[in-house]
Amino acid sequence: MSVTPADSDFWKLQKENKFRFKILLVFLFIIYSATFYFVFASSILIFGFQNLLYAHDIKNIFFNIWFITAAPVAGLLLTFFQYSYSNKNGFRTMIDILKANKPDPEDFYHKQVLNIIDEIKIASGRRSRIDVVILPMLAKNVFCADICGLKLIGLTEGLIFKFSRDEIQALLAQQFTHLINGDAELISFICSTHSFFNNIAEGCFHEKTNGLNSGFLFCNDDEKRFSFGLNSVMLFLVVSAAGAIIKFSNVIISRNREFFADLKAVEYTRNPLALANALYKIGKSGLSKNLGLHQNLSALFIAQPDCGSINEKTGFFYDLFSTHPPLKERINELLKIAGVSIKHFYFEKERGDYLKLKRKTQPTNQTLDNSAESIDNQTNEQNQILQEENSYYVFNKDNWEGPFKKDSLYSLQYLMPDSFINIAGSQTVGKLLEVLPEFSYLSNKSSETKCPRCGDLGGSLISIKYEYAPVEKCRRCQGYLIDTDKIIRILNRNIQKFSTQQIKSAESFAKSSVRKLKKVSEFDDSKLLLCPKCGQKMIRCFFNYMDYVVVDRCLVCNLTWFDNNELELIQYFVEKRSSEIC
Amino acid sequence: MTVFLIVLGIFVLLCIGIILYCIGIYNNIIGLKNQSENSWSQIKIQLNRRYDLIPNLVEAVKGYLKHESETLEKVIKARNIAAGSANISDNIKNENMLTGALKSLFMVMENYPELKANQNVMHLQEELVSTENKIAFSRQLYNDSAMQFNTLIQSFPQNLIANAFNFKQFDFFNVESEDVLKRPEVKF
Repeated sequence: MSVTPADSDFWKLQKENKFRFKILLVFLFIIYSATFYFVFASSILIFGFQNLLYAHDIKNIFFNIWFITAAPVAGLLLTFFQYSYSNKNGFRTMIDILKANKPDPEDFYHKQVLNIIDEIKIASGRRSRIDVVILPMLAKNVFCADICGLKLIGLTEGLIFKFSRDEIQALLAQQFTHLINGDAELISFICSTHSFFNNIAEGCFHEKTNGLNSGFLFCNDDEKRFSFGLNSVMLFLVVSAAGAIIKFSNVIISRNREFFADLKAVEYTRNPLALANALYKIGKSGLSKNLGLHQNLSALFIAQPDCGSINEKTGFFYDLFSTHPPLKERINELLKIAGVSIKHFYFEKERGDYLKLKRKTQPTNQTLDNSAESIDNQTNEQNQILQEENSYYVFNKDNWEGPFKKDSLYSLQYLMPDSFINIAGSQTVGKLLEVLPEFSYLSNKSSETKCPRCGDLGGSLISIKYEYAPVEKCRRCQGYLIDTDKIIRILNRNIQKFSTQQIKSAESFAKSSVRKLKKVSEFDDSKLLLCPKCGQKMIRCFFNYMDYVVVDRCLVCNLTWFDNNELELIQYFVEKRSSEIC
Repeated sequence: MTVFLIVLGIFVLLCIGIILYCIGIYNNIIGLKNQSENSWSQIKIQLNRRYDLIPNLVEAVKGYLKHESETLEKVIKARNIAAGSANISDNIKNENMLTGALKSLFMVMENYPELKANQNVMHLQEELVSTENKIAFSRQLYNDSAMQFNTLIQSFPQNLIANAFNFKQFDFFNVESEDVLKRPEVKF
């Protein structure tokens, strides 16, 4: 079958990557063998076992047939162990560190990501299985890993919400290329190997903590401590050197792969401008840094996530030691393909950033009261329109009741799927589900859960979407029961607008002396709630130690209960803080 | 006699070589033909999904878009025409019409912010946008495969085998709508 030039490049690169992978394994084998040889020989010298080997001088020790045979065997075993360790644990460790979750198909934005992955598979004509994970963090970055044939792409919550669909598509196409051309497999193995070395090296000098001997080759016996310590030092030196070489090999193969992946992503999506925009946003976002990752894993990401990165600088030294090419160079290449002037692009971007910043900083320059008032003024008009548009009358027991806002309709106990509804200001009357299809949950009332706060008074939980994420809300007291892992998702999104009342109460809460109280019981001493799912007592705690909002948590079911307006309160504080940071 | 045997041997080897070469060409053509047909079937799968999604979306938004009944009718009409296409070239033409109608519906929906508050509509719109993208990418893949196939069967000596076995060129999925061909406005 004939192939296009682009395809032949692709296969060539894939072949090269496989070759590099083999070279790396051989390299590891040599390093391990040398390490064992060195450690065996030095141990003999230090412990004085020369007599056992009939080797009385240094020459006999270093050219001993036993060492020469045993060191490669041990090296081979350790290489094999390293390979299987990386395959089995490296990936799992990374997922655990990042607290990554599988995407929730019921969540609008997560579903969008899954759809985009399907689209890219079609564009590439490849049907390989790719798993997606979502990192519950506000940073904006994306990574891919391939260990033991398990291909994976991870995105942060911040990226999913803040980036447009086209931009996410371009980024995922870029990562997809890394996965299918073998880059990801090689880089994943290098990262995992590097972590393995680092863990050993750090372990050598680990101090005795909590009464446990956590250090590598740690010894309580003072006489032997010196000799063991000396061994540790030697091992540390060898391992550190090997780690540095591995890191260096990582650097050599890193730079061009990103340019190639960018081009291949453009070939799939035919949208170079979307990728340029996405890279610009990642570069601009201060939050893309500090993912809380070990430096070893940073090569897996589309842009270097650590602070103090040298990637953005050019020059011989920087080219040698950086894992990613400068974002600016990548963006410029993409702009050339898009036929867009580089000057014009940056001018427009900087103007856009300036206007955004101006809008954000305006209210923060004023006092808290003024900020609430200015938001009031901005939203008053909008709220009035919303109130008019979203007010409904409900027909109950021969009478029209209302007007109710849509949110208030959830708390009406008598509301049924066939209840008649009238939109305020119009003559139209229709059945509830015809006018408001989102109330379809009322059709299966039997599956409702009792509210932990007002369940005894008839309060029940209904499944609704809040900030496009599935949550459970009490129809009576308006509290929310949310999976603890999903909270970061909600806090990251700001589709829901705050009412004037909510802003005022949040500002007064921020100023109130209640926040000076340090014990949860001083905030809320009511009886502990029972989890509606497992029936166990929920614990009462602060959501965080910045806002002092008290929530109830079930540690068994991993659920968090927010009383009425508590979730909005936390959302308000988080949004305010993030706008201040920006 | 020996010379004759050598010449015969060379001739037989040459014949075997030519036959093997022809088999190779034939297999290449078949491989690309199957790839193109598979790409086409992918398009069909996505098109059918689009036919299923359109009535649901129209049903969900018609309450909001009372003044846009003309646009909605156009979409439904274009959908029904596309679904009933008899052959590939008709289908390509009708699908382009449907794509244009859907684009104008999405543009109209942009003017109704309350639609964004309706999560049901948003989900349907996302599914439809995704399906549109999948169709576009499938077309892209189909066109690439068809181009490879067409180039192969027109090249010499492959065209001899292609003509002998009556291989026909594939039609491209071309964009015909003038709206689609308009240069897009670059926005950052």
